[in-house]
Amino acid sequence: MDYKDYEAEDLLLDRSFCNYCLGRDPEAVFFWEEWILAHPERYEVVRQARELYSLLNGSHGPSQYMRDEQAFLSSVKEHLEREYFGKEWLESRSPESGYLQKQTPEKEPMESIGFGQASFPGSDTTRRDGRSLIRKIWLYAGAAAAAVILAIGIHILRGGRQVDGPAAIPREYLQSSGTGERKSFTLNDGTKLMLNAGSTLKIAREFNVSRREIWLEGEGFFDVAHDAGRPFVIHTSSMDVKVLGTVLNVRDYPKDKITETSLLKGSVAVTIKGNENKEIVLHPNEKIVVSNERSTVTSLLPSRAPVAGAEKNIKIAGLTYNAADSSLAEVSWTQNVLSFNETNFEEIAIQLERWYSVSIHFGDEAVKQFKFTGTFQKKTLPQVLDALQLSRHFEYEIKEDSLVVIRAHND
Amino acid sequence: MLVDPSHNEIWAQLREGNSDALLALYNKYYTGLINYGLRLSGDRVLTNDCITQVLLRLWDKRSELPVVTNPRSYLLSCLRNELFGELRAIHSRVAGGKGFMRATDQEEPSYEEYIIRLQTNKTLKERLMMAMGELSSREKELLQLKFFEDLSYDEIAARCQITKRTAYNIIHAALKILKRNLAGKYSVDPLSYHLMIALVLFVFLQ
Repeated sequence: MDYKDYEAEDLLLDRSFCNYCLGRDPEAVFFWEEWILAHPERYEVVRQARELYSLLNGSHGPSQYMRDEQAFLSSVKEHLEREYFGKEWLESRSPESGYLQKQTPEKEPMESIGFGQASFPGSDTTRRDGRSLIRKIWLYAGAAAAAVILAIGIHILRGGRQVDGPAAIPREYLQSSGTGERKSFTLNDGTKLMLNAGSTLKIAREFNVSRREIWLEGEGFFDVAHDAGRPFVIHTSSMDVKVLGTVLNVRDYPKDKITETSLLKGSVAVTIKGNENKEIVLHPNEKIVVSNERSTVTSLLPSRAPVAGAEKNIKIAGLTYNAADSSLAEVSWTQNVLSFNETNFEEIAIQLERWYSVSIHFGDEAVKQFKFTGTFQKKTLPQVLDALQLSRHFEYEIKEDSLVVIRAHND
Repeated sequence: MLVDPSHNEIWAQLREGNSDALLALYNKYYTGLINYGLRLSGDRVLTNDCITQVLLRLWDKRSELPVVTNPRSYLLSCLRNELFGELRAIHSRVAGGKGFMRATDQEEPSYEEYIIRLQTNKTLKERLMMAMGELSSREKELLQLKFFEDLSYDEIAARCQITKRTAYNIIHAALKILKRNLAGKYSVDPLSYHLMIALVLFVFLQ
C-alpha cells in the first residue's frame, strides 16, 4: 500500500511516522515533512494522525522531546569530559555549551571525547586506582597531547583552506562524515541538517550567539530554523549562501567540477567568491550552479533564466525531478537514493567513490564520456554497475582494497 | 530510517564502553520511561534528570553490568528507585513536599484516566472519555502498550501472548473507533480547510 492511501490509523501503525510525530529521528522528520509538502491533499489525514498520537502517548511532541534530549546530551557530555579529562583540567577551561546537540547514534557524540578515548587506551583499568599519581600524570599528559594535536589540527585547517569570513573566530567545531556514510544532527539554533558522504562542516564556537555561520566542504541538506535577527550563512569554497529560514541543499566537493545550491523552500541570497558585491537571489525550485573550472562554461544544465551580468560560469536552473517518481534529484541522497541525470561516467565515478567508499580507475578515456540517467535506491555497487552496463557496453572489475577498474568492452 | 539495533545489541555496546549506546538507549526508551516517571512523580524535569542519572550510572558501572535480556524492564526499575530516592530527598528538605505524597499515593491513575486528565480542552476531554469508553479493555491495554509505553509489536505480542498480526489488528481497529468518535473535534469548517490546502499548495508550487 502506498502512503497516499493511508488513513490516520494506518499512519499510526508506521514506526517512522510515529518517530516523525515525536521528532526523535531526523531522517523520519525530513521524510514526512517533504512527503506532506508533496501531498497537500493528505494534510488533514496527517494532522488527524498526529493529534491521535499525541492523545495516546501522554501528550508528548517534538518540542518536549527536543528539550529533554538536549538536557540529557549536555549532562552526558559533561560527564564524559569529566571522566576522560579529569576534573582539574575541566575546571581550568572556560565553560561551554554543546554546539552539536544531536547526532545519529552510530557516531561518537562528541569529537573531543573520541579523541580522549584514543589518548587513554588503559583508562578502564587506571580509573579504578582513583586519584593515584599515575592516573594524574596520564590525565595531564593526555590532555596536553590532545590540546597540542587540536591546536595543530586547527592551524592546518585554517592555513590550508584559507577560510575567509571574519578572522576573529577563535575556535570552531568540526563535524565530518567519512566516505560511505551520512550523518544527521541538529544545531543548537534548531537547524536540522544532514551531511552526505565525505563532507566536513565547521561550526563557529560563537554559533548562534550573535550570528550563525558555518563552513561546508562537501554536501549538506539544511532545514534552517527561522531567525530573522541572525541570518544563517553557509560558506563554501566558491560561494556564500545567506538564508533566513528555509530548506536547501548545498554541494561543494573539492573534486567535483561544479558547486551548486538548490533551494526547496524560502529564499536565499548567494554571493560568488570573486564577485562579493553582487547578490543573487534564488527562488524556490531553483538552483545556482557554479563551474569550478573557469575555462569550461557549464553546458551541463539547460539554463532557464541566465542572471543578467553574471559571470559566464554561473547558471541558474530549475531543480531536476526524477522521471520515475517525480522526487527531487538534488536531494535524493537524503533518502538513500543515488541519482544521475545525463551525467558523465567520470562524474558518476566521483559520486560512487564517495558513496561506496571505493576508488575507481578508468582504463579508457572514451568510457569516461558515457552519459547515464538513472536512480538507485539501496543498491550495492555491483548492482549499480550492472544496471549501467545495460545501457552502455563497458567492463568492470572490483579488486581488493576497494579498487574498481572500468574499461571499454573489447570484443 | 532510524537504525534500530535490537535491545540486547545496544546493551552489549554499552557494556563494551561505546558511549553512543547511551543516546541509543535514551532515544529508544524515552517515551516509555518518561511516561512511567511522569505518572509517578508528575514532574517532567525531575523525571528526565532521573533518566539521565540512571543512564550515567550504568555508564560508570559498564564493566560490571550484567547481561540483561530485557533492558526495558531493567531501566524501568532503575528509574523507579532513582525517582523514589530523589523524591524522598526532596521530601526531607521541604516538609510536606507534594511530589513525595503523590509518589507514595498508591492509587496510580489508570492509563485511560491519565490521558484524559492531561487534556486541557473541555470538549476534547469529554469526547476522549466517550471514545475511550467505546473500547474494550483489551483494546485499551494494547493502545497503552503501543503508544504510551512505546513497545514494539514483537514485545506486545510476547507480553500479551498473541501473534504480532493479532496485536496489529486490534490496535488498528481501536484507532479506527477512536478516530470516528473523536471526529467532531477534527471537523474544521470547510473554508479554513480549503484555505489551508491552498496555502500549502501555494508554498509548494512557489
